[in-house]
Amino acid sequence: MTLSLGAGAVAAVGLYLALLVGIGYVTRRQGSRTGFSDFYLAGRGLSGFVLLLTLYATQYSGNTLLGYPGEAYRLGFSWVMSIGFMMAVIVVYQLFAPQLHVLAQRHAYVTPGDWIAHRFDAPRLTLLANVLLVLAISNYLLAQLVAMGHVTEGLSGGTVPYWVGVVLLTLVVIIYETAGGMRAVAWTDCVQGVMLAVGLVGLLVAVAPTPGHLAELTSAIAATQPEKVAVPSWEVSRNWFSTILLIGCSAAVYPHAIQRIYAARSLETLRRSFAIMVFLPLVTTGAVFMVGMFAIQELGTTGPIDADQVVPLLLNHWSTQSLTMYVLCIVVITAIVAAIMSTADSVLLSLSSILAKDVVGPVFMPEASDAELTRAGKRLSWVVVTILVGIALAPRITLWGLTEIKMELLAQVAPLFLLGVRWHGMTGRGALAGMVVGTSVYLALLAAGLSEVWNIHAGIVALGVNVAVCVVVSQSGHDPRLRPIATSNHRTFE
Amino acid sequence: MRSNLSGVMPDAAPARAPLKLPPAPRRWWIGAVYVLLFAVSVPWYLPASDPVPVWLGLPHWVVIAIVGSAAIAVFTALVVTRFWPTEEEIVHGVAGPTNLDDDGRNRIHPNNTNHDQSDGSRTEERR
Repeated sequence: MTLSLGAGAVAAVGLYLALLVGIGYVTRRQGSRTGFSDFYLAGRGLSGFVLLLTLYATQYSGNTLLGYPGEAYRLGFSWVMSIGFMMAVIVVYQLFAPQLHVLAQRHAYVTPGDWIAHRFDAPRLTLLANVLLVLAISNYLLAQLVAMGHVTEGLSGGTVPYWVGVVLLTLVVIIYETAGGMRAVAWTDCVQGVMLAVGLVGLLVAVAPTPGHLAELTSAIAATQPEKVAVPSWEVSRNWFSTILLIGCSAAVYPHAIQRIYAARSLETLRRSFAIMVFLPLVTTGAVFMVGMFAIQELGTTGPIDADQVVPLLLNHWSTQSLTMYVLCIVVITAIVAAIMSTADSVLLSLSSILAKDVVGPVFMPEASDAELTRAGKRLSWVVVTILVGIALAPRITLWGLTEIKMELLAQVAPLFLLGVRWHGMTGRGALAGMVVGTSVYLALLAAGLSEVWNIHAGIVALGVNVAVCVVVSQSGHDPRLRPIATSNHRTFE
Repeated sequence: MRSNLSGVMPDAAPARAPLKLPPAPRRWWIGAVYVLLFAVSVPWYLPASDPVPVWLGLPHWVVIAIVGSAAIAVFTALVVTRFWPTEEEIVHGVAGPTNLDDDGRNRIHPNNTNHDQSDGSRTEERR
């Protein structure tokens, strides 16, 4: 890692970290401080502005700013697919978010498991879904910790070692997260969302992509690496569709995103947030995609580069060009730190709520009060980050690699939300059979070294099997737990 | 099943009111438009060409992908602002469609007589 932006960048990030801890302290004084849903859902009162920025900051992670340019650098222009698959997430929300929000408000859901348990009344299904969710988002959190180390090391030009970055930034996250819960996370997400937007505008300014400049870039890449400019082959297109499906279905059911749907103040709030958020991939992933393209031109002669090192190298290169570029690079670095931390805090909060309420609570603390469960969740946060920091100190996979594994596991849970809300005939037995078979198929393909089949992600193949089995089993037998209410046209569960 | 797992699994539905699922929406055309837009935004239909045509400084298929994505964003904003269900529709199904066919039969479980009876009577009330 060779990025060295000096004391200015370190000071900017230091101030930013102090601001985050301050927000954690202020939000600690708000709310009941002991209520489980108050701590984990901010009292279900997120306004449109806060909801939009917290969804934005959460969805665009360290992987977006560090991993995506690396993929663009590796794949070329076909990484423009990242705009489409980030947009697919918002499209998939249309399938279930409004209904789930209203049900969550009426039935006081806090965790994704609350919906699953209420909808299907199938303990084995709820347990398996929670296991998959915990595995997937633990992986996601691990990716953020790895990114923290890379950024800090790069920011200091190697003076601050990787492990110090992981430990220091994680410590800041856990402090404000356990102090203020969802309120602290949402408000810090607002700051982080603004930082992210400012940083990306800075990137666009730095890149200054006029048509003439872009034409020069395109012809330069075409001259040296024509495969990165060529019309995508049918194989690449299949993989493109598969990625849209994979990210669309998986990211829409991130537990922390589901909890933000629960936490929205009203349906109108949620609607307004989505109406704006759907345009953000054009600006966010679009800018990041262009950075990756410029990296091909700027770094093309430096030899093989690890995908995760592309942005640090590029910023280091740009920061030496002028004072303006130096300042912009500092803003971008701070935005990258913001993106990583905003995702890490949201995932950690969600993880601790699931572990406390759906896993540890029912088994070890069946009679626990809200306050006791909340305290247990805070302690679990510390346990989880301690374990994951230990793993992050010896990373053996790229950020995008971590993301793909997480997405493919989440995809197996997606039918519980996408179909569960809309398809009245879906039974718990069918959902469980589908998830067991789908997950088994995915793991078998992974074990066989088949991360893709016919350029389709193993997770999408498994999701297809999952849904097919779910449909067949749901249709083949009447679930005795489902009973209609005589005066309603809705299926009910008693 | 639950008895075998008591003590090691969370209670499936702790003291919640029975769940009434929202009515299944009928606006299938929205899904069809999305399929069309995504199909257009991925340039699988373009033949290989050398040199690749350049539009606005970018390979033409990249511009198509970006414009296709922008169209998806605009359409989604339209869907969100014009066609999202209201809380009333979600809770009571007032303006929302149901999973019944025109004869009041359950499309999903046509042999389920309990559903047929209850859902059919509801349909009659509406008529």
